[in-house]
Amino acid sequence: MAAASKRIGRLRRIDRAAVLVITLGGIGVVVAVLGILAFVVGETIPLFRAAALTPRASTTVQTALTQADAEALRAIGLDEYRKYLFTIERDGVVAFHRVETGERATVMPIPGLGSAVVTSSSRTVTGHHLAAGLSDGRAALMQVRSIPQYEGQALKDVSIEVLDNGSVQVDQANRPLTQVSYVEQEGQRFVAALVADDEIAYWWSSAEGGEQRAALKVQSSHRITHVRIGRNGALLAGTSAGAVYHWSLETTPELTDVSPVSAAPITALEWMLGGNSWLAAGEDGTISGWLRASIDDDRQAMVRAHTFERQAAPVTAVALSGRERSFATAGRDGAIVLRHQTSERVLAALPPAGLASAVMISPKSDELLTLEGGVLRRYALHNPHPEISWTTLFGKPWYEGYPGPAYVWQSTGATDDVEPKFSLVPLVFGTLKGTLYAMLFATPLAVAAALYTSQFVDPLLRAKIKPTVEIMAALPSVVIGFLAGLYLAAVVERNLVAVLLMVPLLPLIGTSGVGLWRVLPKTWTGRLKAGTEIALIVPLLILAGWIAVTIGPGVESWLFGGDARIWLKDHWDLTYDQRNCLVVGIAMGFAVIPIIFTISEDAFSSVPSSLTAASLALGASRWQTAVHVVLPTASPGIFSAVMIGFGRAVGETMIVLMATGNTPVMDWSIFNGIRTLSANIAVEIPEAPNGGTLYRTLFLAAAILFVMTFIINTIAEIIRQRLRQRYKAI
Amino acid sequence: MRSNARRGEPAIWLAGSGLGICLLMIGGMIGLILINGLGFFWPGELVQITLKDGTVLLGEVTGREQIPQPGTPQHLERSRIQMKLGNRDLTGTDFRWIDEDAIVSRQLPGDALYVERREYGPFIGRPLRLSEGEREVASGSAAVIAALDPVIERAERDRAAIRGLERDQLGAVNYRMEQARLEQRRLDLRAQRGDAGSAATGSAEIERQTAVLKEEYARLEQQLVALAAEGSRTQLTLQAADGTEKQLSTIDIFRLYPANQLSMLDRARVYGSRLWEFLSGDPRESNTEGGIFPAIFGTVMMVMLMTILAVPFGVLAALYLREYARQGFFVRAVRIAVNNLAGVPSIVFGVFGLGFFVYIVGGAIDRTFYPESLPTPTFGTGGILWASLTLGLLTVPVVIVAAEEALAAVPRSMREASLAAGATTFQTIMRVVLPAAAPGILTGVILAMARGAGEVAPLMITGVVKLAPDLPLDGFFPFVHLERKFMHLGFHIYDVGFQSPNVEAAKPMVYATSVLLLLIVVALNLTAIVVRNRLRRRYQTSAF
Repeated sequence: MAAASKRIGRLRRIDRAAVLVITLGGIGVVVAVLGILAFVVGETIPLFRAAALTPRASTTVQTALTQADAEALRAIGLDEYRKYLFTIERDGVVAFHRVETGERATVMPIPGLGSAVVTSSSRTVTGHHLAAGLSDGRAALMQVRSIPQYEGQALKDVSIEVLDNGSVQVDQANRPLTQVSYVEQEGQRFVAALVADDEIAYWWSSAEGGEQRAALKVQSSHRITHVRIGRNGALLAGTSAGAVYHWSLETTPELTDVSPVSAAPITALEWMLGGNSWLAAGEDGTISGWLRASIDDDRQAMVRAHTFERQAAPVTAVALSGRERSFATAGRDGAIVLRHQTSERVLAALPPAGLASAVMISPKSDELLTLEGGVLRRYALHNPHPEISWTTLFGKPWYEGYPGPAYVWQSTGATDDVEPKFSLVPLVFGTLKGTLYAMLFATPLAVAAALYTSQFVDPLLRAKIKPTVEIMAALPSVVIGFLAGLYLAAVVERNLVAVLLMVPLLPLIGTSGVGLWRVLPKTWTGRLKAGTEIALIVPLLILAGWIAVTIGPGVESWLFGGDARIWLKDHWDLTYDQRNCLVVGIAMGFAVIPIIFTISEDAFSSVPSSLTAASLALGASRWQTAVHVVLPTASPGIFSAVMIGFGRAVGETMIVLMATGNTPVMDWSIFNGIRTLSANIAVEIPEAPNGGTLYRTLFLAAAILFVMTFIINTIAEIIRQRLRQRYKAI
Repeated sequence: MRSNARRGEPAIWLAGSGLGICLLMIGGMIGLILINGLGFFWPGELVQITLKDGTVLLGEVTGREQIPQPGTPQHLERSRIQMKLGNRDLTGTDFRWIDEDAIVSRQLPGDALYVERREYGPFIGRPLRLSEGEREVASGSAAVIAALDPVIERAERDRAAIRGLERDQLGAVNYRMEQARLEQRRLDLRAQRGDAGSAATGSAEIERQTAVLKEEYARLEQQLVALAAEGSRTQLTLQAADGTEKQLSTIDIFRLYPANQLSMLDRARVYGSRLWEFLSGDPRESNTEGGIFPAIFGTVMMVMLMTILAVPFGVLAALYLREYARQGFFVRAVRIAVNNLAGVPSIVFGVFGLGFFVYIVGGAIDRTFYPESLPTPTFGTGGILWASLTLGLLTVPVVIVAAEEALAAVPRSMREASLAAGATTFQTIMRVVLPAAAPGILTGVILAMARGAGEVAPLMITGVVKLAPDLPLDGFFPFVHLERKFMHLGFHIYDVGFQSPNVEAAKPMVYATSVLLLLIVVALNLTAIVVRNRLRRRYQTSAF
């Protein structure tokens, strides 16, 4: 008795332990599986966070530069390791100041200065090219190099050197250069300087080393406020009238555009990273981004591509990041706003403080610095995903090199200064387009097959057909994709007309079997099981396919002048890609047919037999019963089957990866390739650095896929459960 | 006829056509893959053709088509044949299309040899002589062909010896050297933390070991060089169709046969030997030749790991949902959610696997347990463990759904009988419910395995690579290397078919791999269907 109760006690304990383990384990598994969505979404959240500017220590720097010099003496920079701040001083030196303490570490005289005085200076954002404009019409050109010195793993110091790039006589009349701009590009050098209120002296060296000069003037009533050189020697001049002049350098500078940027004088003007578009601010606080775009086939014009949020006070200085397209604008009230070019987004802002004479972003874009009199203020800059905003993801930003706002996905460019383009719209579009064509192909076939199998086929035969179609569901998508990409695409390309002919021919000739069937003696057909028709249909279909392929070339010469692809190009302006949506539609349709088939077949066969029996008893034919009784009753099931098929097609990766050209284009042509969300993830995520913008954007794509399929499947599932309840009730 | 139409008979036939098209597509696709995949191993005849311009070509005829010339009257009137000519090192291309109009004559030369060699694809030509060092062993095609068999057999033995030396012995030395390097690094790290004393003594020992290993390495390397030199002494001189002579070391020759002298039995033998190489060999020539054994191994191991990970948890969750949880709105919602997870795109799971397993979990493991090999990641990069875990997550919903259905199908009466006999709930589950539901659960597991075996997208980003020299299972401690990258049949298809430089030559390989993958997946599915049908029958009888 005692032993038995002990045993029962032990069993009870085991039972209770099992309850605990299974409950915890079960809930754990469910939570873990659902946690996937949470994780995927969580990874995308940092994309939408604003940038952070946190004040660091400030120091006092020994410099003679004042607010009055802000526009003329612009050469103020920082080395990659944020150890030294360098300035070009009026007394003819490049001074290096320790960032940590503010003391002057080294002073290097400007080479070849002679008796001249520094009247202006400039610095490039990338490459640290410095120019000093001199009082005798010359410009001294230099480059600052910093070389890190390591002790073990730790950075010890940075050694700085100034390379002498020679001096050039910009103005032959030897007037002082009151503003200077200097750019070096692939061995070519460009120097522009302001020599009078309305005159710019422009000097450039050709690739062969020859020197050339030009004098450029603006309307004499205008006063030039800013001179800036961009890519390939393009030159900008801002004026007191609010217009910006643009010259492109062909053999000589040609004035191409005078852009009415603002009603008030220009207060800041800067080329953006890469020198393909520029930014201008007016006295009225407006800030706009401009670029040259094709307005029609062979004409280009300067257009306002970006309008930024107005700043409270006029912008006096602009600092560019040398890594991406963020920039900081400093207002006359001392407020600083960090913005982004493509997304036009305000990333962060600093409240009004002292009036800054210079603003700069460190070369690694990890610090923002202001110089205010002699006070150097530093702000840690955390700006991991500046290029992402609602507009860049789903809207139409205007990118450099495009004739207008566009939806573009191009995550990496040929060079670093190409704008990354993260529009998910072409990918979502591609996903929906591919899915749509697949559904157009699969739905009629699968539903017809399911209806036929469930209503007109003998159960014994049905027991063989169902598993065959189900095996189709098991075919790995990589195999289907490979066949579609390497075999089907080539076949369809060669027999395009034949494939299109099959669309009407197959059902037509398949159906014609009904006539043949009647010719057969009743003594045969009467004895056969229901569904044996399929044995006649299949050879008929093969015949139809053969007819299509045989007459295809003839039809092609007759209707399309011999080559349908050329005809399409000429008459409809449709290009034919070998791997196109027709191929994807067939291949992906093939992949979803079994899903739709199985679920619809279940829905059809579980229509209570009392209903069909009643219908048949009232004298309806088997087709009438099928269409008017079975189909309406099972329609929610069909709907949910189609939804589930849709969900599967939306997420299909390998087939679209292999059977489309993966080109993110947006048009509805069935003969174009697409790039879908899923294929895009598969293509790009192996190259995306962990935690980077591309990485997180791809997570966003995954989250969109997840949510899309989850919603579709949930709706389908709920409908299916309702339907089951209904069948139970009948 | 008219009454027929009114009664909707044609519409029935139309619906039947839908089914017909589906069946035709399945049959056509499977047939296409089987013919292309299995035909690839069959040794064809070598045809010598002479063209009008006097060019002589020798090769296998691989295809024939009508020449499309859109817009001209000759459109699709003339034909051309595709020939596999081999000799890529001489001509630069394997395949060539030849207009049939240009052909003057066709012959089947009896002494034409098909030679499979180490690089540049096959060589097709006639044998001239066989020499060993300076000495000529045989000359003239008949004599050479007669003398070849033992030579090729020896080449195979030599290759096996070299491979053994390289992989087993040199591999072991390499492995131990790497271990010593890591040990040294570990000691350095410890020294940095201030434990210099033990580090110094350890270092001396490691240095001594490394020196011994280096010596061993040099000795083995010498042996290897000697073996290779000995093997390449025997040279076979062949003549291509255009008269160019080519000398091949016999050690580089994997297989050769006089294609036009083979009897049916010989052909079958070549077929078998090629098939065996395909199944058991390592890939060559950037995966376009040789075998796919590592991919088979990787696929099987990944599926096993995945099953081990997914099944217990899936069954646990199903037990909870069906046997323990209070049925109500919450459980219904969870059930729908789990059901839908089976429909979430696999690439999403891949992204999750990459972000969570590889970067977060793997990164943490690396920092904690493998600081000595950083910055080279050990677990912080794709590997078979992460791929299996990802697929495990992907298939858990499938297992849960199947297991739940199987549990629900167990008649209530059985449970009640057990409980009435005094068993606890747990006893009932273990001894009555689970055994009864086992076939159903098994069906789900098999289906999950089939799905796992066919998935590629999530694997591509969590650990599959085109070529993994080391299997995740080998003779070095700890024998199972879960952090290693691996090869996979599905990815192999994608990679060889779409990323290889010579797609035309690689196609047969892709078809053959597809056949294998198809066989695995279809076999698993058929098993599941059979199990399911048996199960149904059993419940039908037990209902009485």
